[in-house]
Amino acid sequence: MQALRRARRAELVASALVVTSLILLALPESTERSISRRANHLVLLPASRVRVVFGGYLRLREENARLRTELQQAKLELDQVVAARVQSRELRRMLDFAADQPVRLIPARVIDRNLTTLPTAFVLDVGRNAGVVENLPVVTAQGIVGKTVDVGPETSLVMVYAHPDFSASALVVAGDHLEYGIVRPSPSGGLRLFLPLRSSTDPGDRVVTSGYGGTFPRGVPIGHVIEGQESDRLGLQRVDRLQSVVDLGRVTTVFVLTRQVSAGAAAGENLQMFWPGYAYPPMAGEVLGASAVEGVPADSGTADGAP
Amino acid sequence: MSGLTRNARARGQWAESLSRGRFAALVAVSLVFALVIEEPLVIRGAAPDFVVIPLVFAAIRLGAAQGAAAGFGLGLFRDSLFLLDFGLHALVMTILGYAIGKARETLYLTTPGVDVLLLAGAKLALDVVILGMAAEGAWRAFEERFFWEAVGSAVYTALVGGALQRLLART
Repeated sequence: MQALRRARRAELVASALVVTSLILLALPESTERSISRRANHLVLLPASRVRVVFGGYLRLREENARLRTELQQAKLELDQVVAARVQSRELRRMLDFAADQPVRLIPARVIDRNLTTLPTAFVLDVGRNAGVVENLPVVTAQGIVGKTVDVGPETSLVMVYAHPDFSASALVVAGDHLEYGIVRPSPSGGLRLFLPLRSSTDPGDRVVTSGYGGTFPRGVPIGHVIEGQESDRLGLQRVDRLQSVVDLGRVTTVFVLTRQVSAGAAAGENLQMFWPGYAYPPMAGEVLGASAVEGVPADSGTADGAP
Repeated sequence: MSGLTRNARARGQWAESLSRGRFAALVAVSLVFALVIEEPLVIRGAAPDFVVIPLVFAAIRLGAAQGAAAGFGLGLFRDSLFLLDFGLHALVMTILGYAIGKARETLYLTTPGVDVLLLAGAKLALDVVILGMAAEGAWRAFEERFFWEAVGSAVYTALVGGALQRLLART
């Protein structure tokens, strides 16, 4: 009985509300619009503040996300511009350098390097088709990088100066005199200069290739002396620590020098490179000739071999 | 939690199991959502109806009479947002509230899945009437809007309502 009464009550309520709705619908359009507008104001005006706050918040979030994306894009573009500027500066420096040299320079890009802490080999994007052969010097505008050891049609493998098998015949430009020696990498990744026991060097003395090794022309900067040690463990040689002029981690573009020097030739017969800002004293104090060449070490991988 | 509420929860009647305050909060939040976030949530013309959600849950919880009253009130709220056919939403939603309440009372449908189906059905029925009235005889336009908007909105509303239901049932 109670359920029936409840059901009837529900029907009555629903019917009354349906009738009310129908009356609202049947009202003249102007009245309907007036009520509608009033209700609209009643509901919407208080709610509009909430809508503005929430809507504004949502819009801000969208805008924030969009701005973040744009900022990331701008940062990427900026990085590209900076990288392009650095590369452009590097290329311009190389161009200036190449213009003054008496040899043909083949510009090349480093397209791969072995993934160790210190690179010991580079792959260049030039090969036999561009005139590259094995055992050619590879340099940057700063100085020595290494030499080609394996050449394909389009690529070349370069043994850089940090490679354990690398060696180069070197010349120390020490104020009023010259000292000959050989440069090799040290196990710690730096360079060592091996000199005859009675040689004398001072920190800061510049070291360049001697031109006697058979691979590198004379005058290619290698580095400068950081510290001189009296002798190696057998006491037969003097060993100096060198700071190299080329940071291998930053090398992206290089030159391959196509004209080779002959192994064991006298300094005067060898080609001499001119490094901008790296001019060493004239060779006046140097004794030229075969006697001077005796005992002078050769570059790694050449006919006369390393000492 | 009262004994009635606990029993309702045990029977899976989540709408009945909600406390009065939480249910009022659900209605209030739904109305705020109807004003604020319905528009940004539109996907290809389909949008969740945050007025139908509290209507269905109120009818399920309160029964036919109060469902009809809730439908009338919520319908007027919806009508106040449109400047056309004032009373139309109130009429349709009153009938829907009554019908859903009646269905719950007589058919003893208590599973949450049925509640979700009721949500989808209520939204679809509401849209059929509103779109039919708005079409004013242009049945091709009605068909297009029905298939693109009404069906999608019904599914969307059911999904959002179901998610709300699960959220409230867990807390």
